[in-house]
Amino acid sequence: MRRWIIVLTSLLVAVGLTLGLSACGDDDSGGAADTAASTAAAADLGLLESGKLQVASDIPYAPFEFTEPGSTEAIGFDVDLVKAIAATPGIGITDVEFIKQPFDTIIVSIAQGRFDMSASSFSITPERAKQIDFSDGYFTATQSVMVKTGSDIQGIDDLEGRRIGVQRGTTGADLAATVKGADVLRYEIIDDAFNALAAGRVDAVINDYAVSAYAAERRDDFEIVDRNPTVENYGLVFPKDNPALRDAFNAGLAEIRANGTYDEIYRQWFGENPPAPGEDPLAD
Amino acid sequence: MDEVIQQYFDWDAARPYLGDLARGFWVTIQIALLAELIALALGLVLAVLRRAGWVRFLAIAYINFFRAVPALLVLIIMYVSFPFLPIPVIEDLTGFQIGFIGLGLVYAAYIAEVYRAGIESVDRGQTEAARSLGMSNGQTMRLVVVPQAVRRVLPPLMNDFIALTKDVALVSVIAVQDVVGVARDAQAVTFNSTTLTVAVVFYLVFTLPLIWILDRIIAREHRRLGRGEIISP
Repeated sequence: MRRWIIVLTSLLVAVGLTLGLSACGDDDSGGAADTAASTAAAADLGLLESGKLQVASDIPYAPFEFTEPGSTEAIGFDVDLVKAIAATPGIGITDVEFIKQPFDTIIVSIAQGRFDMSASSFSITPERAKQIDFSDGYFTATQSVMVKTGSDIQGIDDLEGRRIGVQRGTTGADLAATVKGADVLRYEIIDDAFNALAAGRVDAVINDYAVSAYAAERRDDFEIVDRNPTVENYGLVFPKDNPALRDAFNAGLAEIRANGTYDEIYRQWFGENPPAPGEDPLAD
Repeated sequence: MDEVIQQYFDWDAARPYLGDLARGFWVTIQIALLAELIALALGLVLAVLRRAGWVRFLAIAYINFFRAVPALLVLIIMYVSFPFLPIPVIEDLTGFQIGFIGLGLVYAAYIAEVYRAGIESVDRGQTEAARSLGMSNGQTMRLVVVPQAVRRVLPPLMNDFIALTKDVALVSVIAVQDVVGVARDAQAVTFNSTTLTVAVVFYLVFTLPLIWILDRIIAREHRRLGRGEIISP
């Protein structure tokens, strides 16, 4: 009686381990076999799964990458940008999948090769560039201070000793940390910080202007009071050991800027033309 | 191999964060102790109520609810909803306060069950003797049963305290900078895990002595029992 219990338990453990470990191995398997569908260019891009682009992204971060309520399909500026570049003849991939990942784990995941790339409003910084490769800048961003309408806070100088909500691991969090005496509350996703502002748990949120503006436009109780003069560029993120993909994306980005596709996507999401190169993004 | 060591033990990368990590330790310790106080007190109340008249159904409902619902969910619900409630003290609770109150409420349920096991393990003869001496139910509980029960359940109580201390890490999702939250932020910027190593070391330093003390208490109880001594309450 007791022996079969031991045998059964060992069998279950063995089966469980096998299933668990093989599930982890799925990313690598199946890629080598499927070369028929991909173009010659795509085969050289070192994709995890040939013919398919797997993009890690911190969803939601509207209007760059987010979903409509009730849908799981990713939409947004970053989504359209990546799809447009992937469609250019130099890359030629139409199967683009955006996979949700927490923002502060993406860089490490890319460095480990879990995804082909990431498009997630990453500001180009030297620390990040040590771990991964950035594409050329594709969007110029500024930090902003957003408060509840009617707040006495007029700008970043008024934040001394106040409570500031930020998203973990972002350049906004770094900026908030420099404010004297301020209590910085770090949240997992940016919407948690917005909720904290609405609930009165923080006096202000420091975050990318475009994202905060998108939220402020849709609510009466938020307003943007300051834009920080430091300017950051967003870059697409690639693993260091795949320069071919990064170079192909740089070429594709240049192409869509030249043929007007970039401007079209920009207008669709931001309602205005992109700033000309060298133009001060803070000048309204 | 050097890269492995550097990932977890690069003290230069961690040095700028040591001050924040120390503050984070202190936050973790405070929340753990405050939550434990609530859990021990409330747990005892629940365990005693569980044996009383109709009140015991409330106690059982509470215990089952908080044993079933994850502590993380309890903390998140309290954090995101309380500011919108028009109830004086509750709407002003900070993340830190919700941390120790929430964990205290959850662990009170587990500790109530531990006390119950202890109370039920005290021989009925004790209760009968106390009652026949003219002590009331309340006095019997307070002076005879509970003191004996608590001594017997020190090991599981200590286990629950250690579990609670580890669960304090959950407050990092309600924007409280405990040692885990600080370590994560540093890692997100430097991509080096040494600060996380420091957090691990903190937990070891905090809990291993507790385990050691616990083992010594158990050993001492065994020795006393072994000698055939009568254990006075």
